Amino acid sequence: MMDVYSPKTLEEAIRLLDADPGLKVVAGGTDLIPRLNQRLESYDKLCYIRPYPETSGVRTEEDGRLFVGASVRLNETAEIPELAPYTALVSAATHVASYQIRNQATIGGNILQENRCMFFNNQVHWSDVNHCFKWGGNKCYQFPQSKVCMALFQSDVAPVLIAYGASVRVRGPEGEREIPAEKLYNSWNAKDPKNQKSLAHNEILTGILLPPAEEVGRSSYVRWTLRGTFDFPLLSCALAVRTEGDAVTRCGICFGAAGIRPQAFPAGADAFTGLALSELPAAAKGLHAEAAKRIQPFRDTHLDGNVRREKAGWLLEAAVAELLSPDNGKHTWFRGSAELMAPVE
Amino acid sequence: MTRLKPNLTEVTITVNGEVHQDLIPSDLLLVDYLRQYKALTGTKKGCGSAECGACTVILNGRAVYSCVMLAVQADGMSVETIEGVSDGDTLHPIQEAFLDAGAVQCGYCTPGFIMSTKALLEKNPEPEECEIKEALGGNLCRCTGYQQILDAVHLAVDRMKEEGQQA
Repeated sequence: MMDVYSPKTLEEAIRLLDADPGLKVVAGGTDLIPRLNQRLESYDKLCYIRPYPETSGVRTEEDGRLFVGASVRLNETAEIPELAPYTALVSAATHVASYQIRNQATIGGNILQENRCMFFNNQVHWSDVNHCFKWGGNKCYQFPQSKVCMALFQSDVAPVLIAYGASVRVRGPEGEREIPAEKLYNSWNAKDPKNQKSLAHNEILTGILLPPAEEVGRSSYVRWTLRGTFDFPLLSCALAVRTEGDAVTRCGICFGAAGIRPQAFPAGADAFTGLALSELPAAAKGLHAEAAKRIQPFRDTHLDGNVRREKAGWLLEAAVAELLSPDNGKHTWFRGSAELMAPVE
Repeated sequence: MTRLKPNLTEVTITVNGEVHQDLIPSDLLLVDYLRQYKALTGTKKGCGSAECGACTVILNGRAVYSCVMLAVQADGMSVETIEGVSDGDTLHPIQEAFLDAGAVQCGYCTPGFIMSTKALLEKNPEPEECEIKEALGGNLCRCTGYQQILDAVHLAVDRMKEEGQQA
């Protein structure tokens, strides 16, 4: 039996969280509730974060950045005209899981989702004897020598935010603060060996701050999955390219499902900067070895770490092809999943 | 919504057009609310982990999984279940199409598929093949092999277009 609190205001929710370290936040519920139903986790108390005015809608800030409320449902991103120029963001958000999940899941919940692992999430029968970090134990079955949980982070939206150079806004009892999206995933430490985001227990993510669309430029997102829909990415790549004339003046690249956090690829972004758009496909071909270095050798039920590494360069090429395609972001059925499954040469 | 005593919450949920006010455990899932409190057992509880789609209902016009949603999350909202689709004994064209196209075998997944189809056609009366696949991608069926289900959706689209009917 859980007690579910439904605070009416954001302030009340923060007060409740501040007063009770045992309270677990739930918003859309599509990440947490399946684990509760599967008895992978249990809590005495939940705090349901409803869509509050502070966490809803999309608005332009005074400094020109676009605020996207954390409560915006993933499918809603395709219906908000202000988000249309952010091709990769909309593409990522509208390809998460299934249609139903995207109607429930919030964009804030997507970037704060729990890391997943074939040992924990598949209920391996011996895991309740030899506990891993997520079960409150002291070992990681992915990497037995690791001092922290090494579960895979598979958010689709997070890599796009990092490629964009976006930030997130959180609110706690002391007020609001901003965290660059990349820093949101930097808090793994031995004190708390479970995957943690850089949020205090009493802080709530209120929204995402995107740089103005003209600063972001063109962007694309590709994900490699076994199924055409309703699947976590085996690996994904977000690419954002700002151009002047035909020359790239700013570039951001980030891999998703590539480790315990999204893996930015600054070496690739540097290599692309200064090139003409038409030169990007050739440049991407030359980046396979560098790209592979960014992928942690994580294995799951479908794939071992070496294949994941081998495919990083391929995925970068696919992201470039998508960016240059007149149909960028228009697919409802992602092309290429089957092609990507071709054996590694 | 008022919390009366620990673990009980009052919710107001419109189910198939009828407003219901209930005192329920605060951690009750929406699917259990519909099945146990409203006796609307057409909505199936399959996997409980957002994988099979048998529990699909339409919440404020959008298809959602009721097994990974708390009933309190639907407070103040409108839920449509499979029981609200037909008009008395007259089946909805989508239901008729599923029967005529042979898209129903054991039938366990069917309420979920029909709710997903209805949510799709309400928004997009003439979907393309890829849009149908995307909208139904979150529903699993282990008997029909899916082709009959796609045929059923196309059949429903054609019939509703002919009759000028809306989902």
